[in-house]
Amino acid sequence: MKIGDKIIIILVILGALASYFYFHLQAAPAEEMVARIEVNNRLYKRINLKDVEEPYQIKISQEGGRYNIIRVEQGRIRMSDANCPNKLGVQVGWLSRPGEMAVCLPHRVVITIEAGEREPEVDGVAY
Amino acid sequence: MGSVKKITTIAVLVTLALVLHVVEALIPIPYIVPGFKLGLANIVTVTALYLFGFSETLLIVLLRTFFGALLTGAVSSFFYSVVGGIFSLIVMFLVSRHLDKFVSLTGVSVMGAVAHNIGQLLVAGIIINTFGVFSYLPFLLLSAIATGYFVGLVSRVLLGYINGRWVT
Repeated sequence: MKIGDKIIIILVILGALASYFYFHLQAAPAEEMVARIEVNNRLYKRINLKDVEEPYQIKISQEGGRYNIIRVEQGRIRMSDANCPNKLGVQVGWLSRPGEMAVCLPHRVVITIEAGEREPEVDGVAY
Repeated sequence: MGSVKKITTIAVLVTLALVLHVVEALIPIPYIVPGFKLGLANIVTVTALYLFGFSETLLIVLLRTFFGALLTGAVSSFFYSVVGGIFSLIVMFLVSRHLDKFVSLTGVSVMGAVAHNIGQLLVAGIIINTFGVFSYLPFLLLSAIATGYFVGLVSRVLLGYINGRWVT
């Protein structure tokens, strides 16, 4: 191993740490937590997870017998089953923090947790 | 290297990549990160880059991703493989060409694995229209170090074998 190899490995580790802090530690628990389900890049449903009282399931069926089952509980949501080949979206498990996401690429189903969005405040008004 | 020998070697390398591709699909890998793969087929890319050059390796990458998609039937993953493969090849070519004094095959292969992952995340981000997929980046970067290191080691052995005993 030459010196450059070690530098590359250290830089990649630093990059991993930096992106970890950027993507995962920034997200603070919000007062309202909204899960967003998208199918084919279009909004399918928005669910405020804080308002869920009884757990329930949603089944998204698409042509060709493709389906995704989504389980919703208070404060968390997950893709509980899908008949896509590798089931990556299912393996992600429960989502409960803003910014987390479960993706089923073959069916183009995406669940994300939005950070509580606030209305942008007005800086100034001129007449 | 004569042209017949070259064509044959390219064909053998493409075949080797396809076999590795199928074998990799058979190995059960514990779930760590979505998109995590060993990337065994990259052994062929690294080896070809050192054996030939950019254009021959590009040909091998295109052939192996195309036939790989036909072989495993995973046509939807074709775009990820092809973009990841080309992205990784460009980065490895630039690193091996310009930083050759400081970086060995291992570093080149680690950079290739990193570029492969970033390329695939870019495609995923474009297809689902959210760059939130980049939240997987830290885990993929760490796994790229391990897989890239391993791929580099195997390529070194393979290159030694090819240079020493087969292609003169």
